Amino acid sequence: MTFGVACAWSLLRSLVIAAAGLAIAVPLKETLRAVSGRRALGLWTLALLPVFVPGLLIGYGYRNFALSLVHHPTGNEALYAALVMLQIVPVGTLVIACSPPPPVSASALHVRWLVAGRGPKRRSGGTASQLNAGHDNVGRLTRRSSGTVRLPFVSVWLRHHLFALLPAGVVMFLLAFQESEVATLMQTHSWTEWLFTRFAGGLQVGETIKALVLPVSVQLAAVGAAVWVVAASGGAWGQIQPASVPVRASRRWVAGGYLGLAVLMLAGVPGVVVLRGTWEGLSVLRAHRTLFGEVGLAVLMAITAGGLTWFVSGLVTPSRGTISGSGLGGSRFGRWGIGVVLLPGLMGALALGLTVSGLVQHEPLVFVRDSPVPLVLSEVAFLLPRAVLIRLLVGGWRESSSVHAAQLLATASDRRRQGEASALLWRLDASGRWGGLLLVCYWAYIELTLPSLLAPPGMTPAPVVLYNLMHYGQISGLSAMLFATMAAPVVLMVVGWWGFRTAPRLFRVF
Amino acid sequence: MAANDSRLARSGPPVVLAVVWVLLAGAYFALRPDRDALIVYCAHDLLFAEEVLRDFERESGIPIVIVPDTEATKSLGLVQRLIREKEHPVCDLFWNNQLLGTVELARQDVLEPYRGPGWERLPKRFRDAGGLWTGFGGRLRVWIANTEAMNPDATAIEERLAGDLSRMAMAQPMFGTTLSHYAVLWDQMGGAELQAWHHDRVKRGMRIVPGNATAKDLVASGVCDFGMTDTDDFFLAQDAGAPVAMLPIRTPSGQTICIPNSVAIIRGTKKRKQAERLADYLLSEAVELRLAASKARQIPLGPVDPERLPDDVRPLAVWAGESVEFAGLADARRACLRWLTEEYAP
Repeated sequence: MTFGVACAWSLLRSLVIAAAGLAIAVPLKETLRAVSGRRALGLWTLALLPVFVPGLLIGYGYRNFALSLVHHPTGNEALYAALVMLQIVPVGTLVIACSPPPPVSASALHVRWLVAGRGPKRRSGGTASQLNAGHDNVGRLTRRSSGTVRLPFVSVWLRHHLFALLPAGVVMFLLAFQESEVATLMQTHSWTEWLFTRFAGGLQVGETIKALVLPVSVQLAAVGAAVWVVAASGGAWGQIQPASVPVRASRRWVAGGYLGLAVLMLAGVPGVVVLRGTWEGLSVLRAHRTLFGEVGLAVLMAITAGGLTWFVSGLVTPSRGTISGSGLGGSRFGRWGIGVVLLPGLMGALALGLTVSGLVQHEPLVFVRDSPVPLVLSEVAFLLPRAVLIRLLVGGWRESSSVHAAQLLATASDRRRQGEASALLWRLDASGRWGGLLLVCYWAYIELTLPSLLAPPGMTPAPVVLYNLMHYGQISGLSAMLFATMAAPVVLMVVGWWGFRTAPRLFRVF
Repeated sequence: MAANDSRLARSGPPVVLAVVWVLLAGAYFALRPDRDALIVYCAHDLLFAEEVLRDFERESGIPIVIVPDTEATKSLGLVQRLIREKEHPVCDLFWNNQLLGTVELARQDVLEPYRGPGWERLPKRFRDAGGLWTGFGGRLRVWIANTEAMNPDATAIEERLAGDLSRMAMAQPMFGTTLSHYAVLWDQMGGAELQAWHHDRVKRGMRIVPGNATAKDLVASGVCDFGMTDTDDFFLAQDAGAPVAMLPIRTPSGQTICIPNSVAIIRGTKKRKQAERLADYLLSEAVELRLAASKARQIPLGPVDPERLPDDVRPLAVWAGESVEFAGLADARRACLRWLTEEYAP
């Protein structure tokens, strides 16, 4: 398979995955928007769970089964595509949920359809605009000043669906196109696997970068389309709009079916495989105590890269509601600055890692090669788009007036009121930022591609060590090591969350 | 107080994170290996190699940092990395799990000669005359057969090889010991004939999988009936109770293929003395016997006390004596790898 064919295959598969993902993300978004309160929190948590299952765990859980499909390579490809799709649907759902309403709403589209049913150039006489109050500007789209309908139905249909779905589709496409870890472990064809193999086989830096032009161009085109839509959409991002109409039963079934299947296939199956072997393999943990040092190192690297990413994302992220038709204002970086800062991360870990790996082999950068600097900076660049997205979401959820009211309440002399204010401030303000920071650190912890390429000698984090042992297949010792490695960040995140939530009260005791 | 809480809520995450970072960084810098640690690139299976290297560390007091190979690329990744780093070397000593990659490094002027007691101990056929590298602890290329699917004998395998090969598994020949195997065939059959032979087998459905361990797993689980692998992988399957048997692969000249580990000191190392000590340690009888007694059953290539050889390694040692020599195969490997790269990643 040539590189061009590998790219074309990855492109086709990613488009199919993104399209299928959209078909699920839309009903899932509607179902999730229709619930509120604690139930909404629980459902959103469940829906987002697949995103946080490490590729290493998924690859390990399905490695043996994928190998058993050696006589049915199409089946293996389909299984891989299904797993990737299940994992990225929540991201698409979140993007759709946080997108501003499209310039042409669903009801406006319906009206245009009714109008179109009476003939494409019939005079509307203002009926459409009357039916679409508020942001439903179908009138603007369907009439010129004379009142004559000019835009065909297809155009209006596109303006509704393009604005509503394209950004989410692009994000899902990018995630599918860049995926490399599960693809390697399941031995499916992809441009990432092709390039990594050739790089290991001695491809020179210049040739590697030349090869990257094609996949990076594909991704740039996708990002460009999404940026154009975001810039043209005109509304504020990061606010999840409540549902205005009841959700159809069929859509609830799709959403429920997805949630069940995703949790079962991405968390259930790999979890059972790992837990089954862990008990038998505990002795391996005792024999390989260096693993605990490698876990500690991974935590250290994750906090360093995650913390730095979160800090930089705070500088980059525009203030609430400023990503609009008027541009990406509100950030000290400006529109182009944000684009430049986010672009390397949007190109994926492999493209970023190979480029940096090549650059630090030569003067004048070779002096940093044996330090953690290239790895940490690359992780920051890679994680920055995610951190910015989280900050936008947190900013969207944060209600400034409520936070301000809670801050005023905190100044009250009554200790009980102060306690309530403290709890409110945690819920309204601090929890989102603290949670976002923990998530970015977690992503830094489970990242495999960048440390595989850039970790200096003696600083190989535990997930990469395990990745290098995956050729043993599913054995109990490896299951136990995987369990210990993956349990560590989860335990630390829970302790961190609880600790910070409790800290203000503890401080008050003293 | 709540105002303080509010401030904590606002500044808390960075502050708490900074405290945790300082604690972890302190622990890391207190416990990390010495800056003078010997950096060892190790393509041998880490589960076996790490114990040996850590014992050396304890016995000698010389700290070691191990850099393993990657899942996808086996030893080839480290060989290419050493070539890339030639002008600014990071590694002090290379423990390769096969030989031809190390011979290539010698040709690329990446290695420094060392003829110590370990080099003296190994037979001439397993060492470079100038001391650029020395082989030890070998593995045989073998046929692995699922005994529930076929008879594990040469006749049955020949019969299978003449027909449909969709139930035969072989590792990707661009990497690891399968590359060495192909280099031997390139040398004995010639490039054109090997390519025709390979294409014919692929056409008849031979399954090419990521590595020898995978080929072994497919046969052990019955997904495939037979395949090519190394003795260390075969013994892992046998120890796990899988219905498998093996017999050595023979080249067109009738020889077996015993692929030694190899050790070499990297040109430009600042820790030459420490590297020499580790090289001699790895090439010692004690380490060869230890590798023979491990689950990998590596075959000692130097003189050892036969009484101390495990029972299942003794026949392997006999077959290893019938092996092809690798020292003159560097050109064949290079040409073969060029073809395989065009074949699998054009």
